Amino acid sequence: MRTVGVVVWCLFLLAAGVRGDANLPDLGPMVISVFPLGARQAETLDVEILGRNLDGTRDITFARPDIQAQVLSSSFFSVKARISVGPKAPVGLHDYRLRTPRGTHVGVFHVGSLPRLNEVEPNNDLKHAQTIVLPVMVDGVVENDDYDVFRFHAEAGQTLVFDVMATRAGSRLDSTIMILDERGAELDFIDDYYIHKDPYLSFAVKKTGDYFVRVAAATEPIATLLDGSRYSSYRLVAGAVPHMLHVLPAGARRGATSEIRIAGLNLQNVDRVILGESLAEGKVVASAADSLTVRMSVPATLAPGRYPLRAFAGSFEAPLQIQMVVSDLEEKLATPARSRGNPQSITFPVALSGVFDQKKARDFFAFDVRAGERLVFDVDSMKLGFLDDPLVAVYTPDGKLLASHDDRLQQNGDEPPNLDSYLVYTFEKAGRYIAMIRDCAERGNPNYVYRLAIYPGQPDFDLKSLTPELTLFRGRTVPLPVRVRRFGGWSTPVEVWVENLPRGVTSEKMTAEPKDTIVKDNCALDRQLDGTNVDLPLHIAADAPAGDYSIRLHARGVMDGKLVEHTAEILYWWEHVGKVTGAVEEQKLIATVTDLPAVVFESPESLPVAPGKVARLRVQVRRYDDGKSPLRIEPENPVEGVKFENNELAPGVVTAELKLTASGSFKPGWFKLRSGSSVSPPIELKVKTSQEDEQ
Amino acid sequence: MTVRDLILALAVAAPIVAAPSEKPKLSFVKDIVPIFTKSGCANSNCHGSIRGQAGFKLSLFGYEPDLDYDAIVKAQDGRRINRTDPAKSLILMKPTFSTPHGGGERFNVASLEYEAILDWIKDGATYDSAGSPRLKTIRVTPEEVTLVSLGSKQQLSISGTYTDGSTEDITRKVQYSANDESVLDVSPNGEISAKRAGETAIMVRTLGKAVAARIAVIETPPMKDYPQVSRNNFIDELVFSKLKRVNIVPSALSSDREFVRRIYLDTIGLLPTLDESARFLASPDPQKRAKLIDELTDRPEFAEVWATRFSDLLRVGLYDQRSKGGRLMYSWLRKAMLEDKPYNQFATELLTASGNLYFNPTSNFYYITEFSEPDNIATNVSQVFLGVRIECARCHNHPWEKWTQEDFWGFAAFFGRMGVKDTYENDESEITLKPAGEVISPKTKKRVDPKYLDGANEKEQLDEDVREKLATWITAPENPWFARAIVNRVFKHYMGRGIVEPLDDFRVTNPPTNEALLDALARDFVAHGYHLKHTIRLILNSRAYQLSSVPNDTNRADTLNYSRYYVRRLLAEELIDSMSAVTGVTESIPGYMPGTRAMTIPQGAPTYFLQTFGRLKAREVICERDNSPDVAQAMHLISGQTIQNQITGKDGTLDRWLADKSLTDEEITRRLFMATLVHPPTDREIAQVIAAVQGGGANANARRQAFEDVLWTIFNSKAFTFNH
Repeated sequence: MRTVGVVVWCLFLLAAGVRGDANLPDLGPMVISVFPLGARQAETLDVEILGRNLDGTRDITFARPDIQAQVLSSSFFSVKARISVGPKAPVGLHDYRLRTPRGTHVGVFHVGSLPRLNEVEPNNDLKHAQTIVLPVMVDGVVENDDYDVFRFHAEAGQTLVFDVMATRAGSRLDSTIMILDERGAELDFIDDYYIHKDPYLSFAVKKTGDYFVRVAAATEPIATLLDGSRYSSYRLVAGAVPHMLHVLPAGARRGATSEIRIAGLNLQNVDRVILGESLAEGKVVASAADSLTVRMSVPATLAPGRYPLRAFAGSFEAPLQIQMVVSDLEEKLATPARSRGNPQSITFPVALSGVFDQKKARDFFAFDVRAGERLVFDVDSMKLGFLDDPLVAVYTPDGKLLASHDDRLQQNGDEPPNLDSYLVYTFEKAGRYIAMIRDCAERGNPNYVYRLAIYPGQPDFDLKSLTPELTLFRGRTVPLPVRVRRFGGWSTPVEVWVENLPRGVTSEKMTAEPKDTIVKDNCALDRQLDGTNVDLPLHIAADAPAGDYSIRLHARGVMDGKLVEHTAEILYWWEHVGKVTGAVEEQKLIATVTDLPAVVFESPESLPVAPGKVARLRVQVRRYDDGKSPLRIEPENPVEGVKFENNELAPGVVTAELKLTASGSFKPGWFKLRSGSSVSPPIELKVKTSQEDEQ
Repeated sequence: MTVRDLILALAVAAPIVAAPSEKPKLSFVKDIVPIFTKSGCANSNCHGSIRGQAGFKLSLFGYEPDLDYDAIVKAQDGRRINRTDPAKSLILMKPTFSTPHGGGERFNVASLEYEAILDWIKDGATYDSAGSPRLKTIRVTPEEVTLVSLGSKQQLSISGTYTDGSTEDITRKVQYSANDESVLDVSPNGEISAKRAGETAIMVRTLGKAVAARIAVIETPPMKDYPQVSRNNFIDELVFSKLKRVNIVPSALSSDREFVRRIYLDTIGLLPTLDESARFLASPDPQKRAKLIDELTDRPEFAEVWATRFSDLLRVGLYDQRSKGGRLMYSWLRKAMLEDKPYNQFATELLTASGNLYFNPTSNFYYITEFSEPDNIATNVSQVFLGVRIECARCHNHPWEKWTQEDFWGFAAFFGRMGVKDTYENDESEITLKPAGEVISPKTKKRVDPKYLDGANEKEQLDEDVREKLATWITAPENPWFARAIVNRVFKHYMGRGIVEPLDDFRVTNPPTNEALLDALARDFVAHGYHLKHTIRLILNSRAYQLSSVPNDTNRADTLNYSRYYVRRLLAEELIDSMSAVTGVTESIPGYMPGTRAMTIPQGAPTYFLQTFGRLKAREVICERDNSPDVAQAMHLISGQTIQNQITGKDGTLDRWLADKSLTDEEITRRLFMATLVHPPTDREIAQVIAAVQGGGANANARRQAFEDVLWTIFNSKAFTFNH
């Protein structure tokens, strides 16, 4: 547990540092886990939110009105809340914003359609397995060296879906699923299925009987936190439920009716497929267990983007969704054309959907261009949730490589990557050319779907706020991180500024140069971001009124004499929500104006103390006063039976090592340190065990 | 006889050399270089080492005469050759120890070697003219011989064939060495003399060529009354005919009790349960052994044993931080074995693997080094799938084989486009195929085309993954190594010794102990669709496998020819899994669900017990487990925590039996013996146990303790810790 604590602090400190000004602390709320990770439709349940800086939580508000939350209690490390989910709340992840006086936090909460229960310990092995009845959602926590084993009954011929939602819902757990037979022999196992380590498998039952499903952490020694801890919550979805695996084409044209084909499991009873929250209604024209054919009309008014596709069997909604693109492009299927000598002839603009269904699968497309024509080859795959790693290339008909592109954003040890390709190429000569798309590692799988959009490149850019939450300290300058990404050959600077600032807060315009930012990864290697990072400085006056304010971001640029202006899309602050990526549900950037304490403590969560012996409490101190006078650190309230010494810190010293001597009568419990008006996070004083003695 | 006379004499023996009337000029390549090979100067521990010795470097075993010529004649301003006074040449004074020499005297001034070098210097110390013939092959006669009686002798004869088609007797120009010097001696001139009964090979090499002669020594002439031994399949035909040739009578057939314990441990890594052994022993079915073999090889535990074997071989989990990938790969191996995936397909999937280590199990095959360097991959692939060690040729031509640096780097070039890319998370890597990639020879500094071992060059075409062609070549029925290498591995697993040892050292100078058997197994394996299970069942059904481990007078010393079952210490996993299965006490392995069997752990050795008994913490190199007993193992069995937990653990089988009023102490004793050793206790053993149990009076704890002592004794016995 000690190691886990250290890692949690590392996450916390990392988050504080990434904001740009390493001198300022992150005192905004940070949620590390929610248990249960979600609710069922029409359910009210109590949840426990664990993290840091959660004391004084004022409220939790969901982006949708049919999910309500009531804060029951809060402390520095946790919040207890009651959440009520409306009966029509769509299955999937929904945003909440937790608000404290020092900032806000946007996180996600899952809503499911299946009966729900919590895991009950001990269920660590087959002898103590918890019995469940399928279909079901089980919410659990994988502690360190913990195995959650469930016994279930299955009938021959069933196809069971097992899906663990953890990282996709903001949990830090790297989970695995194992299916075992009644004797305990392993029948199937999966570790990573989705891109950020969540597992999924389908299990075809050959013999009626009892089986076990085991949820456990992956053994991954360098990522201790992922190995299971009290923060490692998960949701197991299990049962012979309708399950969609992919849809082809992977996109639909707005203002048109198209026929789509969905591949999956247990689909025979699905009678309705809709896009988003009834944004487009699909009519099932044919169904089988493994496929659906659906005719869907997409309104012309629907904004281009990615939307969840939801399937219903009567009133029952399939517990998991897939993504679909809406655009103005004509959507076509790749034939497939697997040979360079026999490519699929296309005219652009067009979006082509295909599958790298076998190893070395590669699709070739032939097209004609005019001299000087600039084309964009824009691939969606990872962004749709698939695991292929596309690579796109352009050739002359005789096989000469003109250009290729692999990843839009390679992993850089910081934010989640984007392995989808994006190639812009200007053809010098008119003529016929070949585009090729393949998996970078030449792998194949029936669900390695790609959507390759080919269209004339119109120079453009977008602006993203990298966080939906920001704490502004009075009397300080706080950076707001944003990113400008260029498309279609945009090559001029972009001006970025912030609007709707509260009274007492000012900022200035910044310029994003047309050059992608380079960052150093964990191995000190240069990694190119998929755009230009800009820190917008926000200057907060000492008398700026405290409170929460919604602020807006804008960007403007000129290219080829054309003025282009955009407002920012607000993204999750990924360090705060694990691997949840993309745009937040309610497009608001909330800035909280508050005071910066004179002293900020970074202290351990607990301290083991042996009666009659000396314990040393190491505390990092960050000073925001003038720092010229010595600092005296004392317990906020006297701790019975414990004497504190060595508690004066000279100016310039940043680490205090307090000497604590506990008498035989000391009482374990929580205490805080104080220096002036500044107090530390709570520290638990525990009786030292003999095992800790040995360590 | 002068050197010239000797050369002339040899030339007369060889029909296609210059006429005797012409005074032959000594050839540097044919006559001088072999002297340095034969005298040991060009050995790897002398001037043939990669950096040479004391500033003088020769090519290893004379592989590269042009370099040797430069080293002798040109290097250091030619000071090794004294053209004015040839006898004062360093190249003569050093090996004759006329001047201080770290290598001592290699030949004396009266030797033919001395004279040859002296004459060559006197003749101008020239290099062979362009296009002069080079040694192409060498041949030893006889290739295989059996020496009857100790002290008997045999002269080997070596002939060399040159690139111009000429041949020459080079018996006195080559270097000889016995692979096992305890069996026979070999003189510098190729005469062998028998020292003890046994078998070995004589390695013969010169100028980068090497061959071997297989020699068997028997003490007495072949038996006239050699017994008739029944045969179950062709394995028995070939094993028993060899045994007859070397005067060894196989042991008797194993008893049903011996067999049932052995076959369970060998196939599924577990002891038979009481029910399983009772059912087998009671069955009157004459086919019961074959049926049990079929049943066991269909069990998932059988797949787990082989998944563990392959995990050792493929170095699963070499890097701790890639443990997720290791787990995936183990699962893939297990599934492949469950499905009895044809081995050619198995190999092809590994050889053409790519993708993220955490999503694509087979890609972990290539993650034996952090950056998937082509040369490391080439070494690994040849060793794993061909049983051939080419690594020496990375830096210099192979000392005991024909592999040159060109061969090595050509093979490495099949992997020139491979790369590693970091992908989804900090710690995730993906094996990719770069759009372009090449391998540069460190010797020529030029790009190398892919080249099959002992084969042609290959060209990678547009849109092609040349590894696919390599996989096709490796897994082809006509590949000389692929099928032989895997059947040899399988054979060793069950028979205790490979037909070629070490398993990954196939070379002409390390011949199989029973070539006909190896060939027949490989042919049969290919003919039956590369199914490992077929070959495994074939071996298990052979009488050779089912022989008793008890030796007779003729086969006590035999360790090569499968004349009896070779006892082996149980693997770490087999030991702990068997103990736990017998006691019913759940074994907890850190990082794994309580009750997880050790055989199903994909990588690492997370307990002291597993480490002590030979499971590797990190599979850093391809090598077999060290399965030899040692003191630490003995101590751990005597007083280690693992065995204590197993014996004293509560709620296990012993508690259940002790609580069962219908079971007498004698019956419990019988059960303990049968569950562990698969034979009933003797009357004396029963009496001793009963005395110990009753010595504690009516005290339940004392009774339990007495049975714990019985278990402890059994677990510490060789009868338990060995398969026999």
